[in-house]
Amino acid sequence: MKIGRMEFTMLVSGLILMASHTGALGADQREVTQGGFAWQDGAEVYTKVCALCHDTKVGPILRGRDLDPLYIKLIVRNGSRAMPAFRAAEIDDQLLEKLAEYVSKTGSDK
Amino acid sequence: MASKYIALPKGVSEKSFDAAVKEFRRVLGEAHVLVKAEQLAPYTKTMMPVPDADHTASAAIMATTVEQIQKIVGICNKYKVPIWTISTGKNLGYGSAAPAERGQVVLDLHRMNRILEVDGDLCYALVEPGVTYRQLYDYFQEHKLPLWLSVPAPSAIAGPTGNTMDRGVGYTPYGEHFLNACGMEVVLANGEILRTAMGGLSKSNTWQCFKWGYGPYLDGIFTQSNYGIVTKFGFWLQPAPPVCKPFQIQYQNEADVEEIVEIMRPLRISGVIPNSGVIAHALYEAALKAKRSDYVKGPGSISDDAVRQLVSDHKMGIWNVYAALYGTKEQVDVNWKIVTDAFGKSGKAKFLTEEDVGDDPQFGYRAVLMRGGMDMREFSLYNWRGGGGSLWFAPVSQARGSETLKQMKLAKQILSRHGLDYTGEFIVGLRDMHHILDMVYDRTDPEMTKAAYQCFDELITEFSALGYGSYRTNTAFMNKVAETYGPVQRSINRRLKKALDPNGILAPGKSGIR
Amino acid sequence: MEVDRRSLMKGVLAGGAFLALGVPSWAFADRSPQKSKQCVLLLGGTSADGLFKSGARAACADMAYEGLRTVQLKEGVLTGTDTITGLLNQSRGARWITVLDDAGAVIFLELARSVGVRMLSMGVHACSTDGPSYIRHDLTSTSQDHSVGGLLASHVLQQSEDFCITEHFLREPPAEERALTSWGAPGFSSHRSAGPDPIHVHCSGCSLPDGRRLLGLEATEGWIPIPPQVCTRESVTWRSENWVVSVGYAITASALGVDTVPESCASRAFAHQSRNGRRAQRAERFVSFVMDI
Repeated sequence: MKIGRMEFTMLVSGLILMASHTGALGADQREVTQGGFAWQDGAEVYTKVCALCHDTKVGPILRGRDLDPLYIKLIVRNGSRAMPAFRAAEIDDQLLEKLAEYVSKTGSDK
Repeated sequence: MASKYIALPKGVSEKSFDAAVKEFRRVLGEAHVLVKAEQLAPYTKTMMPVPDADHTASAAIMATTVEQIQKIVGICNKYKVPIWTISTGKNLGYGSAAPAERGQVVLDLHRMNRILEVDGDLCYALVEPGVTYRQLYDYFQEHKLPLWLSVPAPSAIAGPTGNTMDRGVGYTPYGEHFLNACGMEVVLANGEILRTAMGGLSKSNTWQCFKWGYGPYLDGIFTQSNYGIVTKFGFWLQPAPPVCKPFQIQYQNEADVEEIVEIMRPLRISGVIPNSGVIAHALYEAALKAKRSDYVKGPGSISDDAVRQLVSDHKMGIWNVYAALYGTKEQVDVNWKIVTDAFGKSGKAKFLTEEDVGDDPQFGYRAVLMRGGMDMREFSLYNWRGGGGSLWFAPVSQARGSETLKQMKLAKQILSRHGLDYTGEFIVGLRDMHHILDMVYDRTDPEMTKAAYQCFDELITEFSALGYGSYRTNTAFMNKVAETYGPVQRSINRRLKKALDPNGILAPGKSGIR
Repeated sequence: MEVDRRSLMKGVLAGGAFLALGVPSWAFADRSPQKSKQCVLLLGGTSADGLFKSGARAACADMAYEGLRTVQLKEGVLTGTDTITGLLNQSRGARWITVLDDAGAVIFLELARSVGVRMLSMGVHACSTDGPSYIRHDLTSTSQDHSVGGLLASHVLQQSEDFCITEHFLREPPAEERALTSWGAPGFSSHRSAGPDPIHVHCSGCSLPDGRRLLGLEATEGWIPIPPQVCTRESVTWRSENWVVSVGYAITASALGVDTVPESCASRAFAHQSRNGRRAQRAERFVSFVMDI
C-alpha cells in the first residue's frame, strides 16, 4: 500500500485535532447526551432495527403487504421462529403501535 | 528484648515461633530456613524514609516446590505466622525484599526457578516465580529463539512473575506486563492449588493462549494483593521484529511537554508508536552524565538555572522523549516519516537516532530496554543525590498535554518545600499516562530523611485530592494509598481477604489489605 | 591513645551514682578475636577507592594480615552484574569488603542476597557539598562482633571535620552476655536511652539534645548518663588526616576481627562538633559492605 506524504500528514494532524476536542467522562461524569435514548417514530425503529433483517433477505419482506397491525405487534412481542422477541423495555407499547402502523401502511421500496 | 531472633511476628510468642521454625526446617531442610542476623541482613535493607527495623524479617525461608509451599501455608495457619512472598525481591524503591511489617517471614521463591515452557510458535512462556529475565534472555539466545522480553529497569536481576504481580511495566510494545499475562497457578491460603482460566481443564493446552476461560476472570485479584501465592506464571512474548529503530527527541523547555504529549497520544493510540513513549526530564537522567555537587552548593533543591546549565553542558534535552519503531524496514521507514512529520512541525524537536549518538549512555540504556535487553544504567539515578534513599511516586492521569505541566508544577512545589529535586518522567501508555517520580534523597541525613517522608505523604495527599491515584507504592505508604481509592474498594478487598485467608497469613498489609 | 582494660574498669567504677540506682555494673563481655578468612577487597570504581585501599592496607599491616587480595571492578556494577555474580560464585568461603557507589550498592546487595551471603556490616559514608556540613556514616552491623562504629569514631576524631555516626545492630547480644557495656573516649559524654531497644549516644563538642538533633533521634524521655570511660580496645595506633582512609582502616580492621568494644544496646550513635570544624571541600560518598560469601 502506497500512501503519499501529504495524506499521512493530514491523517496525523487530523488525529491530533480530533483528540484535542474530545471531552471525557471524568470523575464528575459529564454526559455526552442530554437524557437517555428515545426512538423518534416507527420509521426510525424500522430502519435501525427491523430493516437489518427484513430488507436484507434474512427475514421476509414486511412492507407493502398490508399486514394486520395486530399481527405485527404479536410477532414483535413474541418472536417467530428465529426472530427474537422484542420486549417493552426496547420498544414500548406506544411506539410499537406506531411501528405496526408504519409497517402495515408503508409500501415496499422495490 | 533479646531473643534468638532478630524480630518476631506480631502477636506470636518466641516459643510458638520456635515451633513454626522447627516445622519449616522439617519441610525445607535446615539450610533453607534463615534466622541469623547475617543471613537476614540482605533482606532488611530498604530505601524508604522509615527505620529498617520497621521492616525487619523474623526469618527467610526458601521453597522450591509447590508441595513445600502447600506445607508452609499449613504451618503458617497453625501458628498464625505471616509470610511475605517474594520472587526475586527486586522491588527497588518500593520496599525491596523486606516485608510490609516487622516480624513477617519472607518466603523467598528465588530458587524456585525453572523455565517450564517456551513456545516459539505461539510466543509464550510459562515460568516459576524465581525465574529472572536474564535467565529467559540467555535461554532464548542459547536456543536461538527469535523472541523478545519486555523488562523493567532492574531487567537482568528481576523476573516476570514478581514484576507482573506488582503490575510493573517495561519499554517494548509488550510493556504493559499484566496485559500480556496469561494463566497462573496459585497456592491458596488453605493449601489448594488454583490454575486460572483454561488451566482448570486438565487436558487443556490453551492455558497460555486464552486469558479469560469461563466465569469470573480471577487473575487480576492475585496482583498487588495477598490472596494467594503465585507458583507458575504464563505470559506472552513478542516475536523479534526484523527492525527496531529506537529514537530520542530532545526539547529545551519545560512547557514543551504539553506539545509532546499531544503529538504522542494519537501516535500511540493508532499504533504508529507501539511502545510506551517516555518523556524523561533532564534530572531523571542527569546522574548518567553529571554530578549533582557540580551544580548545587548547599542544601535545598536544584534551581531551574542550574538544570539549564547542566542540560547545555551535557547536550541533553530538558525533556528527552524516547520511543521506538518496530517491524520490517518498510514499515519502520513509513512510520519514521509519520513521527518526524508530527514532532517536527513546531520546529522545537531535535531528533536523535542510534547513528547520531555513538555510545551515549543516556540513549544507550533506553535503546537496550526498548529491545527488552538487560541494562541497569537507569539506576545511576541513585547516585544523583546519593545516600540510598528512593521512593517511586507514580500517579496516573489521562494522556493529555494539559495534564502535564500542572502536575509537574505541583510536584516541584511540594518537592522544593522539602529541599528535594524533581527527578521525573511521563510515560504515555495508550489513554493513560504515568507520571513517574523517583524521590531520591540522602538516607544518611536524618533531616532529609524526615523531609522525604513528609514530602511523599504530601505528594499522595495533594495528588489524590486532584484525582491522580498512584498505580503502585512502597510498603511504608500502602495504607495511605489504599485509603485514596475509597471505602468501598477497601471493604471489598477486606472481605475477599477474610474469605480466602481467614487467618491472615499471606502478606498482611500488602496494598493496605489485611 | 593506649588505655588498658583496668583503667576502663576504673572509669566504670567511678560511676558510683549509676550503681546506686541499681543498674547493673558496666563490664566487657569477654570475647575472643575472630579468625580472619581469606579477605578480598572489591573496589567498584568510586573516587574513594584509592584512599579506602590505603586505609585497608594500614589495617592489614597493624593486624599482621598479609593475605588481602584486591579486585578492582573495571566496569561499574550497573554494567557488570555478570562479572560480579561470577566473582561471588568463585569466592565461596571468602570474606569480602566492598566499596561501591550508591547505585552500585543497591544492585550489589540484590546480587549478594541471591547467592546467599552472610552480611556482617553495611555502611553508607557521605561527605557532601550540597548537604549537611558534617560527614555522615550510617552503619548497620549484624551483631556487636562485627561492629565498626566505635573504632571509626576513634579514628575520625583525629581529623578536623565534624561527623555523625549511627550504627544499628540487627541482633542484640544474647541475654547471658548482657552485662552493661559501653564505648567511651576522652571528650565524649555518653547517654543511654531508657526502655526497650536501648540506644547509646556519644557526643563530643555538643550537648545531648544537639547531638540527638544531628543524629535524627526523636526526643525520647529518660536518657541516663553513662559514666565516662576510656576504651583500650579501639585505640588508635595509626593515624590518617583523611576520613576515607580512616573508614578503610576501621572497616578492614573489623573485617579482620579486631577486638572492638561491645555495647549493650540495639543501636548507637556518635556526634562530634568541633569549635572550628571546617566544611569539607570535596564531596565524597560511597557504600561499604563486609560479608562472608
